[in-house]
Amino acid sequence: MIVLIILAFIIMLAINLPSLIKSRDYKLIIIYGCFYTASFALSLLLAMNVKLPSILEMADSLFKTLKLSY
Amino acid sequence: MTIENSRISAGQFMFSIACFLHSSSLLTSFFVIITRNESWMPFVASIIICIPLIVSYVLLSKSYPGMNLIQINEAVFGRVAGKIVSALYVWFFFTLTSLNIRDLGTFVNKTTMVKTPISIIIILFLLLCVWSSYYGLEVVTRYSIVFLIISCVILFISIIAVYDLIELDNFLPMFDMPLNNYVQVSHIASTIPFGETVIFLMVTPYVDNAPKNLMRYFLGGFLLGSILILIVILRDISVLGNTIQYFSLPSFEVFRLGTLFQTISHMEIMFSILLIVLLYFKISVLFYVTMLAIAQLLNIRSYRPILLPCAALVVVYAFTAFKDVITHTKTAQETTPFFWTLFEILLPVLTLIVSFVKKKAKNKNNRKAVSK
Amino acid sequence: MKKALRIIAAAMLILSSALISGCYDIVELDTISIVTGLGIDKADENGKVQLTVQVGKADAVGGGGQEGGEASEKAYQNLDSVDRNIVGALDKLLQDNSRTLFLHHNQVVIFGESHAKEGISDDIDALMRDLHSHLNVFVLISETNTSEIFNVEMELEKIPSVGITRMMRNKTEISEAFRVKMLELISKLSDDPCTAVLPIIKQVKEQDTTRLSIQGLAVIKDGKMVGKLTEDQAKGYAWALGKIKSGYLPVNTDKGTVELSIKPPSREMKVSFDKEGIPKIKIGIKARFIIGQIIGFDGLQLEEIIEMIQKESVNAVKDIIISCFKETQRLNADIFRFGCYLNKHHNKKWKKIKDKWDQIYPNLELELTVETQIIDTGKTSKSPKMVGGRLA
Repeated sequence: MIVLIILAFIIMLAINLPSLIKSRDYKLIIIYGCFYTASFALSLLLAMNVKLPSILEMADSLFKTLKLSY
Repeated sequence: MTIENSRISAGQFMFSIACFLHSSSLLTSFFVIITRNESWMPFVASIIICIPLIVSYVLLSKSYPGMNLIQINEAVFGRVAGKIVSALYVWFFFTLTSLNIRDLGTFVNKTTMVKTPISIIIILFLLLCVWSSYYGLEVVTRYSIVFLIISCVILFISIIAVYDLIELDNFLPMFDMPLNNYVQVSHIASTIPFGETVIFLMVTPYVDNAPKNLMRYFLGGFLLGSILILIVILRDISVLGNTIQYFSLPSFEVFRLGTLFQTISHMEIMFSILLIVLLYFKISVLFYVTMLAIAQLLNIRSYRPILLPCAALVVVYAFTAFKDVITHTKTAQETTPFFWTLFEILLPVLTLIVSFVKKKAKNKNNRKAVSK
Repeated sequence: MKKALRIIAAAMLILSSALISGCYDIVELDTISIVTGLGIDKADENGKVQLTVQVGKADAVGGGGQEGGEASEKAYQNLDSVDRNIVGALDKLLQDNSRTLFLHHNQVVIFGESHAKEGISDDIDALMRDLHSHLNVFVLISETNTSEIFNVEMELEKIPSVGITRMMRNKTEISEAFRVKMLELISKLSDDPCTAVLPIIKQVKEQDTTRLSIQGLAVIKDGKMVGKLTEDQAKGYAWALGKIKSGYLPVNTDKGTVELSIKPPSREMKVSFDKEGIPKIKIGIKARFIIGQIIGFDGLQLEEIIEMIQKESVNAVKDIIISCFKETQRLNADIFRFGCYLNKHHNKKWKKIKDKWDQIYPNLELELTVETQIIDTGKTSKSPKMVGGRLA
């Protein structure tokens, strides 16, 4: 499973990187890099069955403590 | 500066709103369970309540012509506060995309492909959404009218198929439940299907002939989509009656019961096709809007390079959003209406009010400057 | 170059349509056995159920080529297993079977009487939850063990459960009240009053042959079977609901008997409440008949016969309905669903008496008004005996 994810991300890099470097838009490359590392890391964590915190569940408990629920 | 270069016609805009709303008709289970066979009444109430809301969206778009929602936020709240508000919106669009694609994956897994892992279904759909978003707005909304016609035809066939099972008696008794239930269902119906049309504020600048006839098309699309959902709810209640409270997919059961001409039965495959097609449209519109919003917020030239990493983020988010379906349904009934109200009602109305105040102040200053 | 790419892309798309069923979910026709009937009984061991599953063999039914008279191959197979409940029993069947069970085309679900007396709600929950089961199945109650019912061979039908479905369709021709599909059963058991009726199927043994017969109705209250109605009382039930479509009503007078062929009546129901909120139900039935057979009445004219019959038929219909009503009052089961009607149409008053319905129902007053009309006399108008002649 992890091997598949790494393979998919390498393919993603291969698809996107040439056109990015050609454009020489450094801001875009930095932002792309941020998204890429974030999604790579999170996907690996998910594949290794690490429990990631869920914002929606936290919001749910927040609203329930504020008594703003049915 | 515009990231998006294509234009869509007003008709495409109207039918994409209608198609977007109609896709929610297949997932009515989480509010139908609360008010059972009287669900149509709070639903009609929520349609009436949402009309002023849609009017406020159009007014907001008209007061800043040619600017999409993120640009409007920056213009109204200033640079820093505008970016914070826009970031909240981006998170909201992202969440909607993930939740919807999770729903689609769960549905396909539960009914049609039982053994296929959900991740494969979601990844395949998302690749298709990425592909259509790559080419821009026109491609994403191009097939709205075709999908809408297909869904209307299938809706019509289903009504003929269950015609002999319809009992008008199933709508009684009326007004049997505590008032809280009706209020709750109206609130859910106005935030979960209807309020999500706030995303079309990102699309309005790119409509032909905007902002002249925008009100007509936005409202027209809204009414068309909501009336189609109402027809589906009425059909479900009249066929299933008080057993509607048991099923997690009432429309699925209705299709299973219908028989056409005594030979064609078990038509639930039509429902599966309809659900997949409509939900795919909804998800691709949501995904496109999310990408456009991110690109606008971060002020980059084009959203095309970040499509794939964001798709991966959507997949991860879809799996981590809720532990399981039961938590998802319970949250959707209890706290999600309030949470979504923040994004769909409070924020846009606040933006509208602040923009009015600003314009009045500007007019006063202008008059002072002229009179001087 | 571009054209070549397009051709390759098109070819790939067409080839990928072969994968539409997905790699994980491919189901071949020879790996499934199609279930056509389910039977649920009380097992000999305490607290367990016996599940009988009738599986149709696709090749034996469709294929021909067998000479007449040689019943070489049975077109069905009965499998049974005993376990704590339906789901466990279905699971156990997988162990003994070379194919997986496919419940999607199931046509009939039969509950054994002894099992029905203990309650069928849990089984209905399992049948509702299963992905492949649908709500259009016919539900019946059998007097004997369902495995025996599924073993009775029918001459004209290859698979007994399909034969049972066709027998149910015949029954529906008499009255729609006799046919109960799963959706109707669930709907009736979810609402106050939680009562329903189910048709009874039994074996009739004559000399060497056994055949199946669907007669009478079983009364279910709160998910448990509490009593039975005979075929005549069942007809009364159909009359009271106004849902009888065909059949014959015998009307006896001292001069002779007439069999009247029943045409669908029209029915009106009104409820009036007395001071304490106890309802009084008024049912008005307008029945229409066609004369089916005239027996006796020597020498009388047709108009006189019709006059006599019209008065007597009113009493005949009233008797048949009231005998059914009294039996349900004895069993304290509101199978006519007056409670449901009150809930829908007189909601506020129903809420006050809802909890006392079990005490109110056995003493409920029913006012019946029956009007009959003989609309036709069939192909002939006079019978040979009436003219004074003899049909020798």
